[in-house]
Amino acid sequence: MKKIPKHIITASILCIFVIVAVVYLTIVFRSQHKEEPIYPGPGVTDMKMLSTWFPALKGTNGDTEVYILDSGVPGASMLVLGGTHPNEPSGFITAVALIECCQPTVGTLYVIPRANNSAFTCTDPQEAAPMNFTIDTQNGTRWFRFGSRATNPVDQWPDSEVYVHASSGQQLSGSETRNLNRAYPGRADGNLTEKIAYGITTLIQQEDIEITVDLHEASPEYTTVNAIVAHEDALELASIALWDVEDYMAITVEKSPTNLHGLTHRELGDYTDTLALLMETANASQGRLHGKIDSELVVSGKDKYYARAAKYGAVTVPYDETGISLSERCARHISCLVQFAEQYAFVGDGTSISLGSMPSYKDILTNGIGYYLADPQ
Amino acid sequence: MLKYVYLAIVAFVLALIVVNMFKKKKNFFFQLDAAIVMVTLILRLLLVK
Repeated sequence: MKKIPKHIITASILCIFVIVAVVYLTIVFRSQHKEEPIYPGPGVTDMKMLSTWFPALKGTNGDTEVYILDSGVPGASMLVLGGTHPNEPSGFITAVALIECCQPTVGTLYVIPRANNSAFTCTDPQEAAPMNFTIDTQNGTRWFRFGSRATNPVDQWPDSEVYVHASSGQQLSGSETRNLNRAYPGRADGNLTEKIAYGITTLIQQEDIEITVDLHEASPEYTTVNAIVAHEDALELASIALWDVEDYMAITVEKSPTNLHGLTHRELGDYTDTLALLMETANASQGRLHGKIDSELVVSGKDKYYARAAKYGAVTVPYDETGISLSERCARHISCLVQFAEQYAFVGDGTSISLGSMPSYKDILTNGIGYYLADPQ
Repeated sequence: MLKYVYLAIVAFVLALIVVNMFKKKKNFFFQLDAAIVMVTLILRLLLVK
């Protein structure tokens, strides 16, 4: 019998190793497409997909859930966008908290927790970011996806060398091609990210949304952080809301630059009648100065390297060893959302909206954001 | 269309690596290198991400 050469045997063994590795890694990667459960609370009266407003999204990873919390009392409407950038978790968790515990008493609240659903299915390359993080609720632990800033390249590829914003001609780095917050107002015949933006713009137009708030986070060294960025039409609302919240948190209002295109606070204000606002909190798991990124850093916001950088004046927000927790970041978002709603009656068309009895800033800091989320079922 | 060009290139490179891996006069570490590269190429070919 002819002896099998040694190199054929080793090559065959390695091929088996390759198959095992591919199967294992496929299971790991595909698990990122599993969505964490969201438990609609008593305030949710309906849930539709974004494709209801823009059918071309149906069947794509860009289609996403839109939760409707109708008080039954006629009034104004507000849209909250969480998960525009799924690596900025306070926006997503704030949206989930609204869905699970908000009960509006006047007007209608629309919440899109995963604005860029595709970006929840991957993480940013070379960042070693965790695929998920956990939050303790009153009687259990919930897991949530930590995603990417940009649409999954499997859903939209390749990126051009230069991204040209369709309606303005503005040129940006090619990597921004998959950034939802550079794609507004979107295009019906554009790429997937532009289609998602178009779907959200269409929703705002068809439902006559009066206030739109896009929830974000930024690195502690970024200049626009702990801030409300407002389209010029929404500056009055943002300023009035500031009067209340600045009693207990450091926050500023910044006017949306007129020459920076594709962002919610610019394009939604220009192309629709909504009052467009964007919020930024400080997230230590972003930026370039943090240590290891894991669930603990995402949730506690504690990072010894950022604390050290703060001592050298290298960050733009107050930061020490206690960090800036996810609870604090969500508390900032929720407090401002409540104020936007409450103060709209003074700047709008005579209508009003109220989010009901949402937890206060102090309550969230004391109990943690997990206290206000549903227990795992 | 670009996607299919990309996938065709990946499949071609993958085939070359497999053929090369089974050729004679290759030491084990060359084969190990090839196996690791194959894992990433197969994942890309299957658009797993």
